[in-house]
Amino acid sequence: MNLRLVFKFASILCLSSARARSRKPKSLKNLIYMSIALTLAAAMLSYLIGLNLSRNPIIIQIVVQLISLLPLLMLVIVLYYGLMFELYSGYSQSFIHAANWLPITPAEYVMASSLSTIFFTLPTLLPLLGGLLTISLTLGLTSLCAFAAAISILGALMGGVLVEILKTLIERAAASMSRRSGRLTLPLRLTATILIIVAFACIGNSRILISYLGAISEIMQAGWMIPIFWPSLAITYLAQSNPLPATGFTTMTIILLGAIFEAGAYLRERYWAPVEPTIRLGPSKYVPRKGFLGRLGLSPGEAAVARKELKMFFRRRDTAGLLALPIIFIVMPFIYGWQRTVDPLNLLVQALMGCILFSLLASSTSIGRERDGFANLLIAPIDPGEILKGKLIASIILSTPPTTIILLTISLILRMRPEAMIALLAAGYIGMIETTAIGLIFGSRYPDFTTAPRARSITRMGLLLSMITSGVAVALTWSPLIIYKLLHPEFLPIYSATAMTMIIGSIITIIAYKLALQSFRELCISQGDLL
Amino acid sequence: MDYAIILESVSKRFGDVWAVRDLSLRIEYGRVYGLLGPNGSGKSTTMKMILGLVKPDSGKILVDGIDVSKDPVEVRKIIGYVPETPRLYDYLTGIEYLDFIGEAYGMSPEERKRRIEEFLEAFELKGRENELISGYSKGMKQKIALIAALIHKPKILILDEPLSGLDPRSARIVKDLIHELAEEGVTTIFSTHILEIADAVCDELAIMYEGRKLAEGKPDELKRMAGESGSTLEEVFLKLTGAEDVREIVEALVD
Repeated sequence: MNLRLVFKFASILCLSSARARSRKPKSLKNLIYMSIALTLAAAMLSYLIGLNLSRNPIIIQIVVQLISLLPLLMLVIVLYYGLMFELYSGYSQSFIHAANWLPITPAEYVMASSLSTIFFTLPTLLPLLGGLLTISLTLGLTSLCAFAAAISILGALMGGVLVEILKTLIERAAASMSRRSGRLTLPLRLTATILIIVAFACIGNSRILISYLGAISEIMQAGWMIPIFWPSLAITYLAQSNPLPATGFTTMTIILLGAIFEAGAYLRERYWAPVEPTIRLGPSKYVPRKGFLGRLGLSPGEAAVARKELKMFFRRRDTAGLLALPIIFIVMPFIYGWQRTVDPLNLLVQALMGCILFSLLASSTSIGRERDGFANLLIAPIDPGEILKGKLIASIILSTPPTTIILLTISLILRMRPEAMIALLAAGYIGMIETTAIGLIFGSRYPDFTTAPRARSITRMGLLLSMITSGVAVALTWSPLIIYKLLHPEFLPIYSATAMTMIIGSIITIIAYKLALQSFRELCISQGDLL
Repeated sequence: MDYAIILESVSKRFGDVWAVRDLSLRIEYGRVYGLLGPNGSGKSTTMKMILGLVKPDSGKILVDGIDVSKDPVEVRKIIGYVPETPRLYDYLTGIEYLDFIGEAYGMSPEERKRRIEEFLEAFELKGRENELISGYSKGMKQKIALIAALIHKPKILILDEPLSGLDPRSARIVKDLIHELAEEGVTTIFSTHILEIADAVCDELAIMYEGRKLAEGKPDELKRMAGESGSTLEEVFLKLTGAEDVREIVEALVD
């Protein structure tokens, strides 16, 4: 293995990835400086905490337990990052494909790619390492500290290589699935992606993580057969001044890393599919129809844009995250309150937030999602007003079913009175429609057309502004109902409050749409210049 | 005489760079008009201005009598355009993309079906139309882009390197199609770097350089203009654009 080539290639992968995500050319250096700064801050804080801690055996035991979990934490953090940001990065990234015909061995590729994955977790890994190890130093656990640092690096490497293995297996499974399952490929892929995102959003919940880690410490000693515990057991036995088992588990850890690495290199060589698999869809017979969009009174251009939006939404990998949002918002209250009853009001608020956020993100990203394809819209004989209307209609169609399901379900769970249910549905729908219109304003002003891995389709600034504006607009729209809830019903009856909510929401929607149209026309002119 | 496309003293600047400078063209109906020039000479910008995608800084453009700056959408209804790099929707199948284009151009469902199927057959894409575009080769994507430009029976075709990536059979179909359409009155603006194709396909050519029109005329006229009637269009092109030092450059690279 040519280590110089490995590090060079890893730096290229990091640079490509960092530049793809950020327009600032120095973002790689910023990441390094930030990691160092955070590590020093964590170390200083830990030093101060350590100085104030007594060398109580119980305190030392707790610190030793935490240190022993370091390799596992490092592995989980790298794995989590890889699953959230490296998987499904798509076949079209040339910096991956270029490696397929360069004289780089599979092993060198796997090592370089693992290192690049680990690099982006440094702002989390290094402060964690620095903080915990500094505390152990202050408590006199110097040799343990050095050993734990070394073993933790192996844990991080394991995480990186496991990400590579998962990448290869998932791409291979996707290619195989698409050949066998045809039309089912996309729904299956979408479902799998949503489940992974929801699962990791839940696992990423700190309360869950901490309680699991507590349980893991207890079962670790009994679970010596489980390979991922070996690095932690090596540290634990060293802390207990048991050099023989410590050496044994250290050796097994190194062998494990070697085995995982060999598996990664083998899979890379055997199963890497550099070409996008052919996915066949649609009926064998082409039957163009006017469809329900035409019957809604849309012009041909508007209907064409809306139909295209709806088809592509469920096929794109990056929209799976959007679809997971309402699910996460519903599941979260149960996760937060996983050892006690869920508060109904909390559930209602979470459900409404999920619906509103989904409709906002669906519309605000609809323009940036076009990527290079935006040129098609500019070239086609469709007025910008028609394009925007098509996108508005498509976003509303996408948002309506989840909003309806969620609101109806919540109202049934909470056993709402009919008038309250009507008010809830009215508030939900008008909130959804106005945030869709608001999303188009910021999607037009701050689109992100880059074809980077996990591109957001809207800039961070645009996303932030759209969320703030939507928050204010929705609060204003719902204010009559909030007043009804807070004050006596005789002050503001529920039907009057509902009517007022609808009126305010409609006015905001009209204003927002007009502003969106103005912004979108300007965008079309500026993009025409850039084509 | 009626002209399909009129450019009158059109200029366009991007920052300090003049992409197109004081360009005037008059293209008759039913002509195949070639735009030749090195990279950065202004061909693509000219095409985009005709489409109404880019607003000229000065001058006027009329397409079929319509002022492009006043009604670009109306102009695009009668134009079929193939960009140099087709930017298709990866997450649509070939037929969905063409159906979208057909609908955008206001074609009836029956007409869309008939035209799309005819072209898929002609370009040997039958059987591949229900696959996502992301899985297509470069040549297949180019074919889809060509079909998209042709299905709605445009009055004017603007083709930027249309034969790039095509197999010989498909390239021949495109060349023959352009001539057939020209006989039916369709005007084509054709940009290419392959001068043999320009010589074979185009009725008239303009050679552009640094945003200006250096020369205009039939291929034979251009050859006479260069003072060497027996030379190829390539030699004429290199002479007019001042790129005759190619041999010296190559020798320097090999040494």
